[in-house]
Amino acid sequence: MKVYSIMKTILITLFTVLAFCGLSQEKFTISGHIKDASNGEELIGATVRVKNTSNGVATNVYGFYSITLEKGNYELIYSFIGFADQSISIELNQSIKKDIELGSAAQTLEAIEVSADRKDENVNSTEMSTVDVNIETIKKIPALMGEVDIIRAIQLLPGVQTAGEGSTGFFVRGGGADQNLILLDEATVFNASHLLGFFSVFNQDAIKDAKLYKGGIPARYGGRLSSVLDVRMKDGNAKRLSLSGGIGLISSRLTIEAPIVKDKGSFILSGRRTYADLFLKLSKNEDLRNSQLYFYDFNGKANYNINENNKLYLSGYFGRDILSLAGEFLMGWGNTTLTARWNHLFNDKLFSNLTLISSDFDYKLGVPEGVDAFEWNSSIKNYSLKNDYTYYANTSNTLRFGLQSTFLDFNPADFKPLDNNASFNPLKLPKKFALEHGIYASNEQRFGANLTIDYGLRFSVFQNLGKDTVYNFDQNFDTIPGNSFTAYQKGIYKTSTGLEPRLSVKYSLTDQSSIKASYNRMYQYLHLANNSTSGTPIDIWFPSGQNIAPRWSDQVALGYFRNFLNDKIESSVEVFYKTTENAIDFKDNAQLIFNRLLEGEVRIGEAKAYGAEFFVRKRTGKFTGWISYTLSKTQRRIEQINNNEWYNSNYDKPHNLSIVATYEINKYWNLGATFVYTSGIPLTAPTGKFNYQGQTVPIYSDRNGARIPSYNRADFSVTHDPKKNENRKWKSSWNLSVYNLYNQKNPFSITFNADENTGETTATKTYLFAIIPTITYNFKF
Amino acid sequence: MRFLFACSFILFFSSCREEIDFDLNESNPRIVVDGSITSQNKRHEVRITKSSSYYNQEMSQQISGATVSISDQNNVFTLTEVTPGRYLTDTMAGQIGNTYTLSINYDNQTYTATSTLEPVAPLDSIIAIQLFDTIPIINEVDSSYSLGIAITETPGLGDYYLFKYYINNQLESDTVVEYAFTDDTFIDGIQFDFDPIIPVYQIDHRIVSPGDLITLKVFSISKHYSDYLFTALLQTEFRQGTIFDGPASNIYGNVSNGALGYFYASDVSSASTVIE
Repeated sequence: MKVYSIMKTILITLFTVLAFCGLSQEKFTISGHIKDASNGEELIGATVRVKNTSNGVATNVYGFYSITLEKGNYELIYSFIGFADQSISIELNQSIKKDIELGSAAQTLEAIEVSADRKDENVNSTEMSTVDVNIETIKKIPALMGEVDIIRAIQLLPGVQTAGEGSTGFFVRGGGADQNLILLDEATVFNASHLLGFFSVFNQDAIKDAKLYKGGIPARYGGRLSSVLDVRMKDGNAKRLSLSGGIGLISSRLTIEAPIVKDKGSFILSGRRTYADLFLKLSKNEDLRNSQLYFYDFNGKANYNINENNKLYLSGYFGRDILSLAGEFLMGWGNTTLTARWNHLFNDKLFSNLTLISSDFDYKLGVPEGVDAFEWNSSIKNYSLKNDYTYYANTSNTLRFGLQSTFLDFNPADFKPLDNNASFNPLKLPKKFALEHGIYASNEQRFGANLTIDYGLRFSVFQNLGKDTVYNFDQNFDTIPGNSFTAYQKGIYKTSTGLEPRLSVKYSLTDQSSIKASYNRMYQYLHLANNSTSGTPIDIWFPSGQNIAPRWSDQVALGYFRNFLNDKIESSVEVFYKTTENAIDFKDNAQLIFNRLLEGEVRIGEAKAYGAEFFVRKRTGKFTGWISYTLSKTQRRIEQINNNEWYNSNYDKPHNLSIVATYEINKYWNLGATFVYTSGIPLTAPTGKFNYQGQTVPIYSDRNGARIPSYNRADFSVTHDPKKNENRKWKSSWNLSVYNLYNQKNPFSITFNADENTGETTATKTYLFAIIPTITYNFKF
Repeated sequence: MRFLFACSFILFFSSCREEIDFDLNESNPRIVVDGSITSQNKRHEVRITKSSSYYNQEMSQQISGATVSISDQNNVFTLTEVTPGRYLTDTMAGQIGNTYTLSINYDNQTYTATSTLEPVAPLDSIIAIQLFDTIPIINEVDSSYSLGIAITETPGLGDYYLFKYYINNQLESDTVVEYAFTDDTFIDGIQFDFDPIIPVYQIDHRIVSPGDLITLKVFSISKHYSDYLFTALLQTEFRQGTIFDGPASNIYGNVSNGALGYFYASDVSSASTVIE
């Protein structure tokens, strides 16, 4: 079979390259882990550089590094943003293990030497179109209702658009919300929203690091067209028991971390719950007392070092939103993820990780009592096995390869009456099953001091599994009479494949500037039906198959990276162009819920997005922050929509400016401020109206042809760490955040409605948030 | 405390709305058709009006002087304009299984629409029962009459129903927003009786008095017309600027040549009851 012959070719090529790399002589390897000295957390992306050369390497997501050098004497410099550099001298005549613990810059203030070495990842790494989000940075930014949120911080970066005021839905370089691969410790998070999108599922206390790939996406990721948000949970304090938490206006959080065996293993448990609805219990009104609206989530993780070559991790997330109106209507939704990992070092150059993942998203609606009682369930589940390898061949070659297989289980809708006397029937849409596989290999290769190329290939396979019922449609998207469906028996009944080349090139112009270019092709086999503008939980995921072809996209990006003032200021300019084939949209007035003919509502076409992104950031010092500006355009052309003409995507916002600034006045007082300006979202505006049986109905011409007024907002925050913190273990701080400081009534939407009685037609703007001040108390022990 | 709870609820459930000035482009006026033919023996009506610019606050303009006819396989029924924009057939009844074509000639343009008259499940009887209800949250007691039906839904998926009710033979549910209509996805083949009562309509106690005659009519409609009525609401009443709104779009009728509106043929069954 074609699929397997391609896999075989990739594997053979890989092992030939590996064998070749192993031929080097009189070279030795220094490897180990880089950790935070205060709590033993492994540092992701910390660097090791060989002084006076251009050789260097960064730690992987497990804090592991490996660098191979010729026999000789070296000085190695270990560094990480926010931490003091550490340098060691070594005489290299055998391979050695070197675990390093870095102290934070603040803790070892006196010890900091002003290093002449560069903090030049911005310029020097081959990665482009990526954004690293450090949780400590985000905590200084003003937060909506005091809830510090990773996704809300990402929305302040170039190339990322929000779904709407306050929403944690996001769109990357013109890609839809379902084109983001959101990973929490490698498990797919299908819906990252709480409370209808106003909060994300990522609890600030449990998250270590997040990285967003907008372009130049490495071969090890696949399955979504536009971006990867790779979120990593904290490992837990390996040094001592610690407690932290916060009490805010709408939620509270508590986290406990402790060693299992000191410096060998640790765990973290973190929970939070909103309690807006607890106040309802105080109401005199019985219906309100019986109403609920809240979410809670738990993160848990444990790790254990069996020996220096083997380490185990177990992590999970469980979160749920509950909405109940007077006990008469219930709705609940949430994600569950579970990840088990085994890090294994075959030798000091070959790092491997084996991962078992399960993840699911489900929602439930229902009326619990009476003759109308019903329950409606829907879910998507996946189970995945993943095996990744990194081979640190020598200072010029780092190979990555691996494979992943996933079993997917879709339950689009299962509707059941609960009363025996019910006057309606159950409805269960057929479940769908599929397998998704990926195999990849890539090599990051250095050619001399200035040129580095990371080239890779991913091969993806998608297989639909029976039993299944597939409806047959004609050109008008109606079912074919007499042949309306095909029933498939158990087993694979359709296989789709995709070859996905990936390439990133970096060329250093000077020590402080470089040019980077990248190309990636991505395939996506899952599609999301959700017609609302932002994070409502009624998501219906459906697979590619007989009716819907896989989508794929090609993206090229070119960037210029320049650091100033001894790397204190980083800047970059990137341009990108992205096209998508088999892009989907839904026909006008599509019916997505309870529709067994859902695939007949889908329309296929193409999409394109292009733009320029400008970014200036200062990461160190008392005054930090960034300015991000994106100029972009995103459009689609879909069969039967907008007369087959190009139209703006729903989230096309040509101008997007964010300014973020934090200032440390002294040890006790910190200020944070943000300002956001964006173009208004596209709007389909009426060009006329008519009356049909008492209903005044608008007439539209161009889809998304108009635009709502532009958006602007400023937020402000003050954080106070009282002086008494210094002499005790219990450290507390107060945070005051003000969202929408100057009370701008930004339009969330504009609707055109007729007055019921007079028939008078007007335009109405809806805005969600006026000024919102919040106070939060945080503690750490 | 009460203030806090109020704040949090307001935050999530309501948002603020205000009227704004928003400039709009204008399109050329189009003709709008509202017509039907049923199995009842009566004069069937077609109304023709004109669309207007969005902010125009005048009533729809009637279209006079059009040539209007309805035909089936064998006959052509010509309609006469009785008042401006209102065209009527002679007294006649549509036949089950026939396909009817509406044809309009106006201003050198021809507009046509076709619809097939499908049978409807017969309505056995109806019942009107007074109910007292407490409105949640505000705790007000209100009463209304629930209009229950006895009917056996035709087995097999793909039936669509439109219900209208009359008080003393006067049509009461006369606008799209008041119509009750449904498909049989959840009720296929179910035999409805009055246990339990499934209210098709809730009639406000203020508009009826004991002794009033309540009539319910059920019309067989096509999937397409059912979608038309639903999307007419989806694009108006259901679009309130919240995060739940779907995309704005046109609604698509069955009249050709760029005309708006709908022409449908339907079977009708009716039953009556008296308010006690």
